[in-house]
Formats: sequence, structure tokens, C-alpha cells
Amino acid sequence: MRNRRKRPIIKTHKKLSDMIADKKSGESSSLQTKSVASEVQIRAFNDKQQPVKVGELSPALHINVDRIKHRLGNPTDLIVREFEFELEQKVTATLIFLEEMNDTQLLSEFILEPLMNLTSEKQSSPVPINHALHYIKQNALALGRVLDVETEDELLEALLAGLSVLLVEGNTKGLKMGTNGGKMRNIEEPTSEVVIRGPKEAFTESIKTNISLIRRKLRSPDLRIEKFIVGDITRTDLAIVYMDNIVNPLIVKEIKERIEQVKTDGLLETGQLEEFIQDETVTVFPQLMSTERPDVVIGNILEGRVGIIVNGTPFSLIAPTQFIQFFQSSEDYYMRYDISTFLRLLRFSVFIISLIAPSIYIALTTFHQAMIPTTLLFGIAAQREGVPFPAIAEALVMEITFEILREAGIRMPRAVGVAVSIVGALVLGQAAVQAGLVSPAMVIVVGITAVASFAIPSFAVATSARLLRFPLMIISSVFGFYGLTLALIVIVAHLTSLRSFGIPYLSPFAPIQTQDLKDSLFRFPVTHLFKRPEKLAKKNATRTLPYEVKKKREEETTR
Amino acid sequence: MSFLKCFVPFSLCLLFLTGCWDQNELDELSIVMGMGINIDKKGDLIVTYQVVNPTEVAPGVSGGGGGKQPVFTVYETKGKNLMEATRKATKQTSRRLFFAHARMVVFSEKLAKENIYEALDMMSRDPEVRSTIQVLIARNTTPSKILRTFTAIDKVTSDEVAAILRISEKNWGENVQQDINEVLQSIINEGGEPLINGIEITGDKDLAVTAKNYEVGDPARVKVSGMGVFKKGKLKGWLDGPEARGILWLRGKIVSSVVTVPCKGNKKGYAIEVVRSNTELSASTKRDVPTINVEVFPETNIAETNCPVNLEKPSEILKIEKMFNNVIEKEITKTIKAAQNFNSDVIGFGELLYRENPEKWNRVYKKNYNRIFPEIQVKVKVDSRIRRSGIRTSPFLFEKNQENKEEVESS
Repeated sequence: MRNRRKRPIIKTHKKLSDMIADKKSGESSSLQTKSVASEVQIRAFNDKQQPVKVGELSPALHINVDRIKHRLGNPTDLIVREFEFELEQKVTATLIFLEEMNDTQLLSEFILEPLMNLTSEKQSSPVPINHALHYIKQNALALGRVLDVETEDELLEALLAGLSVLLVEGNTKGLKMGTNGGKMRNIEEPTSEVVIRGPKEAFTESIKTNISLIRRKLRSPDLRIEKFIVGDITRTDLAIVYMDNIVNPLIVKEIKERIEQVKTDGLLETGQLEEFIQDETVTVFPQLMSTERPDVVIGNILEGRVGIIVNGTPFSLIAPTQFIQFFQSSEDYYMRYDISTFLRLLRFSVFIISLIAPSIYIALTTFHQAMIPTTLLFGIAAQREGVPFPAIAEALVMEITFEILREAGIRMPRAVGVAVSIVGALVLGQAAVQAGLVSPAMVIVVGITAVASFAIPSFAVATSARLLRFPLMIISSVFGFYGLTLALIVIVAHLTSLRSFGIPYLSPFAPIQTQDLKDSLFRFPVTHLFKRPEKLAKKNATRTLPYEVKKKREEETTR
Repeated sequence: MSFLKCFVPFSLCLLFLTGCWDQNELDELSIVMGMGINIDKKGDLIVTYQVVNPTEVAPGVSGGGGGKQPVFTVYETKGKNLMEATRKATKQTSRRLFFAHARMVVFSEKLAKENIYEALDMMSRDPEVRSTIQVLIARNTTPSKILRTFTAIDKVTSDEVAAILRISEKNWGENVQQDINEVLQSIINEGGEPLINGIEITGDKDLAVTAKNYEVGDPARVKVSGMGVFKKGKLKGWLDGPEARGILWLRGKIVSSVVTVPCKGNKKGYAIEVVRSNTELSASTKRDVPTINVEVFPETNIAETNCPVNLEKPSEILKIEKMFNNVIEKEITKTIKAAQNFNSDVIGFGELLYRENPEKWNRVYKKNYNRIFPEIQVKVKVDSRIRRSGIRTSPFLFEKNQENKEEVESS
């Protein structure tokens, strides 16, 4: 692997980028050089009045405004509102904000109105101009989130994050104010993780809403929310959420380190982050769970896991993740334990069906005809009569047809979807059989596989079964059950070798953790789930205390 | 890296250059359901294969037009041994013969009288032939005729025969299912000899081999009949009827059966239904000629009563039990006598003696078992229990008699 890094390809790539950079500096058309140039101009201008360091705010209002306009390219949605208010004397101030990202009502009601109504009469002692900022922050701005801005970069960042900035003539500081607003999607029902019983709210694209959804359900002072900014250009907000008194601090440290190491231009979805921070890249299995349900995140936080929320996507990540989690639904904890145990077992067998059902069909019909019950064998043999392709070709054709239909069904506009499904049903079902391309038994197998792959609650793990299905089919067409068994052993070995932030992927099965088995393929009654997962919550392992009410009742009645 | 560079092409080669050697698509196989083995005058084997035509058997699949085809076809080849004959059959078939689903193998009486050991070896050796394949002997007919017979209910003859064997063992008990495994086991057992079911054709034998056999209400049928007794791989004779059932009593294999017990001179008497039965064998090996104790504990119901008896009285029940015991004891004794006459230990006494006293078996009995077996003294004891009498107690005959009596008394 080390050799690869020394390969010339990367070198040429570097050269290419260097070349581009050289070219750009030559043309002096790049943004950076432009701003440098403008700064030179401004410095020349400032030299006449008073010296100002590069990047710092100037006490002269119009200079600041010009510089901001210049750096942003004077966009149409940049609003610069100049106004005056009265302190010791008349003071000019400017309110700068990006129009669609701020709540204009907030701006006018709580900033412009109180400021414009300021009169010197109200003041006990006259306020000098250079203290004006402090004074209005204390007395005039009826807003919660008001912070100082000292540098130009800070100012720009605040503007782009949807804050409004107030600059006052004669002050080398500004104020940034949390007046975020603008159009945002409402909290809606989850679309990818539907439950029958349980909360019906889902995360939205706004990180603030998402954090509030978690806060509202988890009123603990130990809840920690730490912010990061990822993406050199997109400057995406990212937050990790965990319980300080439960979580294993080493895991938090590891997660923080990995997130800080992400150096990329943009982060639009948690999927991108997942690929950066996952342990193993060459695998089909997801190593981080994604969810759009706040209750799932909270449940996992309570088990000592860490939630990762990214602005701009309703899907948040949960780390570390175990394989078994993909077969659990939040509903498991809201329904009775018996039915949820049944459903978990069902989902797991469904995963196995969707993984190996076509392979079993191929192995049986091409190698192990002796294993098919005689009457069924007649049936399958009669159907195979006149099918021109070997079983593997038949299976591959059908599976790929199904994959095509599925992809078409997702990407098609909704109006065309009906047509796709009708044609699909005809092609997959009746017509293919009648044309003698495939046998009816194969249609059943493909059908079962398809339905099975939809029954897995996690889409991520369903896709890994979907991918593995094809190599398994080929192997079982060459080696029969022998090859299938070997391949499954390899898959299990691979699963065992995986780690998610240092926690074995297959735990609590391998290595075995008896306490955690209670909430794995089975779910014991909630009253018996005393401990949190062993590896995750060493600090604070007890989750539930023994429930004594029933015992007391029994004692009373027997007395 | 270099490891990967070597590994990937090699594993790809493994996938596509090896393997597949035992791959068969389903439509390249002829599913053999039954085999028949006969012997011709020169001593060559005549082997018959009954091969299914799946399109005709499978439910819901209509054959591609053009009139009905027969459910099965029969191939016949000759060869010096079984394997040779099997491979020669490829001269006639478009597909490979596939034996894993074969249900029965039928030997001709002629071959059975000469030697069946040779023919058994290939079938026990070949991994494809199942050890559960039923072994039979065609009685008064040839295997090839049996395999050509069209049967009415299960369309494939071999299927039907296997089912008949199973059902009749469970409900009547004059046959034991003898698959190839059990036949070999009884040969290997100390002093043991195999016991193989016979099969014959009843009804119009010429009609049997035509598809018209389906269309008549009373078609020719295959029928399991008796069990062949062997001695050193040669068929010596047949056990029929109650004699054959004696074997099942002795082996403790009776699941259910019906025994007729006479009453008060009425031969029809009672029909006693056996529900379950337990057999205990023990041997005393003190003397040079051992004695064997057979104890049978059947549990029974009264299924039919043709004489006026008051079944409400426990004493009557006890009487019936006693009579039943006698009938069974006679049946078993008769079977043992028959086996001793053939001098063929089909019951498994040899194995019993070996287990009881292995040292003495090896030292004394084994050498002279031929002489000893016919002289073995067998004490048979049957201890039956009648548990139920159906949904009525006394037969209506008895109640009628009672009424008559009462009428006589009152008048």
C-alpha cells in the first residue's frame, strides 16, 4: 500500500494544480489576489487618516461597508441599512445582513425600532461615541444572542451564517445578532423510518431545529453538544451530542479527532462524513448508523453512543455502531417484548434470505438435486424444461432486471412510476415466464429476495446484502453449497474483523457479552434490561433498577 | 501489494477454470425413480430404469401441446455388472441418469435365487444412490414388467410401491420396509440373513403396461406380497401372511395391525386392533444350544365384535386377552419354525446371542450356527392389554339377546 502513495499519478496531479495556481496568479483574476489588491488600496486610503491593521475593522463606517461589499462581490441579497440614533450626539450606524437568511420582522422590531427611538433624555449620563456599542448592547437591543465582532473575517462569517451585523461609526467593533430566519422545512413525519407506535417527528435540515428536538426530550445537564465546522468552502455546522456522565471519553476523543481531521471543500450530507470517519473503507457493511428520528439518537445517546448532526441534512449519524443495531427498530422498545423479539428474529432471517436465497436456488438446481424433495424436483424440472439458459444466467438476468426496476422506481417522477411498476410486473412476472426466458420458480425466488430486502429496517444494511448477493450467486453456481458455505464463512470472518471506533462490529456476539445479549436478537422485558452496553458505558453502567412493585403486591396478597 | 497481485488472478482462475465438474442443470438430468435388475441366460445383468417425465408429473404445468405423453419411460440395458449397464444406458438417453431420487430397486426372482450380493455393492458404494432406496423382489413376474406397470394413484410406479410399503407396514404389518441400508445391515449382523419384500402384479397383466391402465376402473395393480427369505445371498423361499407378521412381532416393529380372534366357535370372532407393541428378547447361553425368550407386550383395542359378549364385565375382557395372546403366540412360533426350516436367521437371533455373550458366540456358536439355529428353543410369551373398545362397550348383538331373554322371562 505504501508504494501506491509514491505513484507518479499523484505527482502529476500536484503539478497540474501548481500549474493552475501559477496561471491564476499570472492573470491576477482569482478571488484571493483581488482581495489582496483591494486591501492594498484601502491601506493606502487609510494611511491618510489613521493606521488600521489588515483584517481589522476600521472606525470609519463607509470603509468597512465598502470592504464587505467588495469581498462578497456586492450581491443583490446583501442589505446595508444606514440609520442614525441619538446618544450624546447623533450617531450613524449601519445594519448589514443577507436578506433571505434573516427574519426581517425581528430586525425591525428589536433592532431598528429601539435604536431609532433612543434619545439623549433617557440617559443618566452622556455616552461617548466609542462606548456607544457597549451601551446599545446593554440597553437597546432586545435580543438574546448578541456578540461582539472584532475582525473582518469574523464579520463575514457571521453574515454568511445568517446573522445580522451592526456597525457604529467610530467603533472598531461590531455586533453580530442572532436574527436568523428565512424559509425552512417544518418538522414532518419520518419518511425512511416509519413506525406505527412511537414519536412521529423527524429531523429537518436545520441543525438548530435538530438540536432543539434532542434537547426537548433529554433534559439533562450532562447532555453535551459540541460544535465543529467542516468544509473549507461550505463551512458546514456539525455537532456531536453525547451524555457526559455515560459515554466512554476515549470514544468521544476519537470521534472529535477524526472529525477535526476532515479536510474537504464541502460537506452536504452525513454520508460524506461517514466515508471520512469510518474505520474501514473496503467493505460493504455500513459502520455508522444513520437515522432521521430524534428518539433513535436519544436512545443511543443513553446507551453511551455519540450522535453526529450535520447542518443541511435530516440524517444524523450514530457512532460507534454494531451490526445488530441495523436489525433493531426504535419501535422494538415501544412494543411488547415478545413481539419485538419475534420481529428481530424475523428481520435477521429476512436479511439472510435476501442475501442467499438466489444462491441457494442455484446451488440446489445445479449441484444438489438430491436435496430437493422429489415432488418439488419434478415441479422445478418441469419448469426448467425448455428454459435455454443455465440457472445462474437465469438468476442473474432476473436479479438485474429487478435492480433496474427498483432504480427506475426510485428515480422516476411519480407520475411515471405507475407505468414502470406495471411494465415491471409484466416483465418480471408473466411475460418472462411465458416467453420461456425464465422458470416460474425463479420468479418466486427473485420475488422473495426482493420483498425480504425491503423488510430490513435499515436501508444501509439492505444494500450490503444486495451487493453481496451477486458474488454469492456466482460462487454457488461454480462450487455449489460448498462454495456458498466458504463465502459465508469469509463474510462472517470479515464482519468479525470490523471495528467501529474501536468497538467490535459483531459485539455482543463476538466477543460475547452476556449482559448485552439481552438486547440483541432478543429483547428482554424493559424491567430486566438493567445494564447499558458493557463496552460503551463503563462509567455508568446501570440503566434500570429492579422493579419492586409487583413483588410487593404479591407479598401483600399472599399474606 | 505483490501478494495481492499474485492472489487476484489466481483466485479468478480458481473460479472459472476449476469447479463445475459435478454441475448439472436440472434439464440435463433424467430422474430415475426405480431400477430393476434381472439376469439373462448368459449371466449378464439386464437392468431396467424407470425415468420420470417431469412435465407430466408436475402439478399445474401443462406439457407444450401435442397430446399426452406417458408419465415415465423405461430404458433397458445389459451389462456384466451394474455400473457397466448403467453407463451403457447413455446410448439410449439424451440425458444423464440421476439416481438420487430412486425409490426402489427390484430384483428378479431368478437373480435372487442365484446371488444378490454383487448387485448390492454398486448401490451401496455410489454416492448418488440413497441408502433409503427400497429393495424388492419381483414375484412371479420380472422387474422390467413391474417398472412398466402404470399405477393409478401415484403416477410413478416406484413412488407408489414405496408408499405402499410404508402404509402397509404401519397399518397391517406383514411387510417391513427394507431399504438397502437395512438389507446390508442384516447381512453384516452376526449370523444374520436379509429378508426382502416381494412384489407382484395383480389383475390383467397385459393391460398393466399400457397407458389404458389409467382409464379402467379396475386396473392391474402392483401388490406387495410376502417376504423372501435368504440364505447366503440366495433366495430360499417366502414367508406369507401371518408368518411374515411374526417377523414384525419378533423385531418389535409392529406399529398397528388387526388380529382376528375366534370366539365360541365363531371364526370371525373379534377383530383386535393393535395400537402399539413392545418386544423384549433375551437369550440364555448356558448350554451348547441356547434358548431364547420372547416377550411381547401389545396394547390393543377391540375394533369389531361378532359374538354376543358382555364387554362390561372385566372377566370377559380378560378372556379375550388370553385368546388374543394364544393367537399371537401361535403366529410367532410358526414364523420361527418357518425360519428354522429355511435355516435362515432372518429374525436376528445371532446378533442377540452375540450381544448376550460375545465370547461364547465367537468360541462356540459362530462356527456351528448352521447346525445350532434350527435347534434353538424359543419360548414365546405374549402379554397383551385391551385398553378400549371403541365408542360402545357391549356389542349390539349382546344387548339384543338380553332383550330377548328379558322378554322370555317376563312372558
